[in-house]
Amino acid sequence: MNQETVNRLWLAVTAAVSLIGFVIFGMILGGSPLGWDVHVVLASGVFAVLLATGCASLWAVWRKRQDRKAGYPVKDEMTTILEGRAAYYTVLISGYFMLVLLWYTWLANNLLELPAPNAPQVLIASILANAIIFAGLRWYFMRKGDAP
Amino acid sequence: MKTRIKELRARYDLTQEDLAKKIGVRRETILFIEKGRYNPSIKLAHDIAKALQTTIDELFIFDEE
Repeated sequence: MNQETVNRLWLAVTAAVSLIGFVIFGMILGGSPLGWDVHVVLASGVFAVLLATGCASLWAVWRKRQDRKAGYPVKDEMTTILEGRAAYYTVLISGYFMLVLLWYTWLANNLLELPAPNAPQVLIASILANAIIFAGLRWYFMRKGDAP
Repeated sequence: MKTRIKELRARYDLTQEDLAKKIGVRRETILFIEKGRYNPSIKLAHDIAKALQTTIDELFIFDEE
């Protein structure tokens, strides 16, 4: 089985596990899928994302182990440089995101009657945005390389 | 920048995987260098040239533009 097939298989397993988790969790919370309200869908969605993240992490660990067994380094010059570039842009974009969040929070608290996020929500949103931006940029740079 | 890595690999009957293992880098790195999507450091260029029994000058073709 080549690497491409294994990757697709992992992707299919991740999607299946997340979907099954979504349905089962939703049914535990809200009974029949036809009767689910927004909160049940959201809670099940978050649960499905947790399952998907778990599967993706297992896959990443497994791939690293396979590479190490085959005699390849987990990191080399190219991955270090490209990850560094992804981290640099993550800092810039995340800083901007936090500035927007700060502006919105200030606006919501002082000028407009908008739902203001509390401290844990802001913290979680910032950390999640950070992680998602880094993952996306890393994926992009690893596909693009450093060519102009 | 163009490279002659593919041509020299074929001469010594080496796959990208073989060359990557020989130099101690990931497979994707060799693939990207061959395709001109990554510019290696002088150290890595030297290691590749040494593994393919050639020189950096012979291995990499720099466009004047």
